[in-house]
Amino acid sequence: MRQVYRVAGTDLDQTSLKLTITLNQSERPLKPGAQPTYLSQLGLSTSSDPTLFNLQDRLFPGSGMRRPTRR
Amino acid sequence: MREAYIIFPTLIPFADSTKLNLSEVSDSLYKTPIYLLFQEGPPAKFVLRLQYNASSTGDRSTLDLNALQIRDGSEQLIVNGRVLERGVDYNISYDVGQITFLDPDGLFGTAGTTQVTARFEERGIFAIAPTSIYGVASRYSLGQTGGINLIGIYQVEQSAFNRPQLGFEASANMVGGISTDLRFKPDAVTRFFNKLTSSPAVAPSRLDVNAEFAVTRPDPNRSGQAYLEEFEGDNGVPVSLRENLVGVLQQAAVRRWRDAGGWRLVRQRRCCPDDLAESDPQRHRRRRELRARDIDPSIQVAGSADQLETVLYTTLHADTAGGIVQQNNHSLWSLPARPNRPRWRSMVSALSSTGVDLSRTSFSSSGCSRAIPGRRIPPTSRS
Repeated sequence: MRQVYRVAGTDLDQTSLKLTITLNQSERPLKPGAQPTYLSQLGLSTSSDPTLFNLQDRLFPGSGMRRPTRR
Repeated sequence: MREAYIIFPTLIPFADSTKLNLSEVSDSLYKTPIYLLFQEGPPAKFVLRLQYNASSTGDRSTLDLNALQIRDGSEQLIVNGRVLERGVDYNISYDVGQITFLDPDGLFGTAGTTQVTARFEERGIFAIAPTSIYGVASRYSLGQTGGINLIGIYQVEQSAFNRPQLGFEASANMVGGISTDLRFKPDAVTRFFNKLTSSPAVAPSRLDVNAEFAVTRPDPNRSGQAYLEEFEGDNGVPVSLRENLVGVLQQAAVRRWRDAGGWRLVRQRRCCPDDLAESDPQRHRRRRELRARDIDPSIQVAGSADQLETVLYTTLHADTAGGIVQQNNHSLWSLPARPNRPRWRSMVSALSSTGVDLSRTSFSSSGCSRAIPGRRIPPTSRS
């Protein structure tokens, strides 16, 4: 799985996590008509703020990401 | 699950051409096998910058960054606005991401909570050579007599490569030890000394047995076989034919050659099509232009890389020529003839000024041709 990136160990304060993605020190994608940041273009930002990392849905284990359950 | 992970919504987020421009796409990141990512993977393109708070408890002389494979020299630690200096304020283990503060009392004082800001770059957490370490420590108590301690460590190193590098062998090492801490009270010794003295001893005799025994069992080749890589895909070591790099042996050796009837090397010149054509076009035209296929017809050259080969032209004169041979091939005097004596000449050229590893060389190839004025003769020998 190369779409999963490890953040930190056991003592992480998840609410304090901030993430930015840059290419050549720029957060703005080059593709015309793209979102204003790579964070939002790659689907990691919240819907309201393209610069804010979506902790609830894109951080595991998070409060919003459900663990797989056995049926 | 005790760690945290950022999960992209797509499987190959940095190779998605629908969201990234062609200059931004890094699809090699997903095509390169994991075990080759560090050696042959694409260079880092995107940077994921994370900022978070993490708490640390316990010994305040150490700080765990909770990161592995930190890039050397990328860390920056700030305490109370002061940037700490590595080697003066702290030491760091880049492999496991652990920082050891050299003077935690002077650095943090008596304050209850101190904020340490750490910035660092972390490489991927993919292992190059997976290493497993198993350990066991045990103690068997014998009551008042003492006890026996057992300890053992077993380390296994494997290769993540399907084709390991030459010289690497999956190895293992086991270290085991036993130590005793035994205390005895020999009454016989007490009775013996009581017989030597007029009054019996008050303190009992005591015999302590402290012994250690350790054994190590290295297993340097667990698989029982070594892998030898084929050499077809490796680049060769070219032998430079530049005239300033090709020389003869020392004068003493040359004298021995002459005594043995060796050829005299009078003039040697490198034929490089570019500079010779500019400096002496007429002379250049008289020289043969050689391509790789002229030396070996079996050589197949792909594309337009069929360039002229650099040729070292060497003029040899008979060993009877005395003094400096003139331009018209006349010698100043003649030396006695040496019939039926071998005549040869040797030249040396350093492959590298700093040394080169030839242990993986499987063969060497060279070619030479004999040029006679007015005639064109194909290469006479190749080895």
